[in-house]
Amino acid sequence: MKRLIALSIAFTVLAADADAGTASCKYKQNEADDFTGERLVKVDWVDMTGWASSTFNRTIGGRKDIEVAAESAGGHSLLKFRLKVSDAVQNPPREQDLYSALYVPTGSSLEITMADESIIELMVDEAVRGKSRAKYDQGSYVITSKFTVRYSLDAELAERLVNEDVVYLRLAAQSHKYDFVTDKGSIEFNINKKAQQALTKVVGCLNQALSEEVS
Amino acid sequence: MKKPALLAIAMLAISSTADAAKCKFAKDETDPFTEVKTLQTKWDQLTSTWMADSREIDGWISVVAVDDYVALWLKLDYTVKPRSEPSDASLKDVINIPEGAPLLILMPDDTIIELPAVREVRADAYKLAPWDHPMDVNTWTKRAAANIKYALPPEAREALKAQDATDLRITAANRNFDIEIHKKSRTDFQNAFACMQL
Amino acid sequence: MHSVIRWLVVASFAASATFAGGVATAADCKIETDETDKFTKVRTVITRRNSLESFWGDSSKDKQKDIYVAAWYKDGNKALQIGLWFTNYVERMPPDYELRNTLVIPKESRLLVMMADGSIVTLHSVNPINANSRATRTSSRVSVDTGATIYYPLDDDLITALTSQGATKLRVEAAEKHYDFEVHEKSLTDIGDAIQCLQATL
Repeated sequence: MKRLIALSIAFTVLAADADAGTASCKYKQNEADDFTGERLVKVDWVDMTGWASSTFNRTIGGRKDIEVAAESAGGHSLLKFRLKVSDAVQNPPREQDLYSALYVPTGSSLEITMADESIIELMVDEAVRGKSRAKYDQGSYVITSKFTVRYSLDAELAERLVNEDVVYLRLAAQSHKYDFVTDKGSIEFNINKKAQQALTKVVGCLNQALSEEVS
Repeated sequence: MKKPALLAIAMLAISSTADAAKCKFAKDETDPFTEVKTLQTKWDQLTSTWMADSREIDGWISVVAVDDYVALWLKLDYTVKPRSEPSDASLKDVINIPEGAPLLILMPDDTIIELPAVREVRADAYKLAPWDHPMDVNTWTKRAAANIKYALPPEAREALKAQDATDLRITAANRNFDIEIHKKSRTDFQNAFACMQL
Repeated sequence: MHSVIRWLVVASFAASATFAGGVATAADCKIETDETDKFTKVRTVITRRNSLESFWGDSSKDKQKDIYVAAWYKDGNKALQIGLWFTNYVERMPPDYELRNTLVIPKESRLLVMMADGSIVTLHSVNPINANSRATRTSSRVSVDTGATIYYPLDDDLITALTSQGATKLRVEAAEKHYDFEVHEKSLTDIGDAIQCLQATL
């Protein structure tokens, strides 16, 4: 009997969790602009990297952490990613190395490979330069670059991201000499279940907020 | 009746002798080849020596005559004490006096004498860390100094002899440097001209 | 005796009406600067600046910001003098290039002032701002400070609009973004008071 109760509780929690996607939406902002009256929505950051990836990926350098959020202002929606990437090198960086460590130029795209192998492309909203720092750690220099990049998101693509699975992300970027950007000029992520849930959630929450009236 | 008059004349004679004795020249030489005579008065501080360290601007003047050509030299000392380290960019061209930029001298009757800078002068500042400056352990020091030469034509000299100057404004490229002349220094111009017999 | 009492009653009435109307005399308000340049004879008057946000405002342990207002006069021109101040705390000293041009406000940028009745008064800046940040090491972290003073000219219409009621919010528009400030309840009339103080002094 106890086992049955425990199981049913577990299933209830799971079922609730499945529905909770948009019920547990966290917004940094969800209102009309005081001055212009336009609709402002900012869905809070959700971690895509996950406990497993962070815990096991303990080697110096070579880390990639990614969070996702979404926002909309005056009808223009954006999908945002906040990244922290790192690489380990032998020689101390010069200031110009840090300056050119990570750059996402105007015209860069985000390619999202869907489960059906189709690729959707989002364009960057504005160029971004990473904030890069160096730290000496156990015989090498760990170069870490942090940046937030925003991509324009239309309603049709937003629908697909909510309703279909995503398997891969490729963000176009440049780095003068560090390995967190591949030779093809990209930062890439396999999308696991946790990352998928994060992406679905933020876009779902954005859609939900935009469909609601605000007093 | 005669005795007081004689006394007055004697006093005058004594005082002018005393003034001549006070005259100190930074330079008094004649070029052996060209026979050009250069006479330059000693530097006279326009600002009070009291609390000089806490003042942003300090100034000294000196009058120089090379044959008939007379000029005013102004030594400008600029010091600020920021709490945090000044950037290297902020040290550049702290004193930037374009050629022709006027020195404005304010007289008690509100007239202003204008003397143009003879040539461009540019000076960068240097910085001292708190630990390098024994008197200022809590602040940085940013300091710049420059000597600026201004033309001193006869009409300007006459105007400066007629009254005691009260204030100076040194016009620079990006700002003005203002000096309020200390009470005891307001006759410095007249004294310099008297020494030079101008 | 009666005439003295009558005088006192009349005087106190006048005083209360004055206070009810806000700052009306130069003696009441605080002036930071009232100088006449010795050389140019140009008079400059600046009221004492007041912070519009509450002490805590929108601060966190890592970020603080504040906005100050004063009324300014020089050589026949009146303006609202707005001071912006931002402080971010970071772990490590940023490289020089990250400190350059961190606050860019082009000339003619707008200041939007939301009044108590919801109307918006719009002013335009007269001086371009290209401010760099300054990073200072504190005992445990690095403080990155950015500040600027922006002047928004005032004409008679703007003065009437800004002195007729309190202001609740401000938006300072910059090159790529804007900065919003909530006016603390104790500061609602600060803008109007500063302008009236200036008018009374001139």
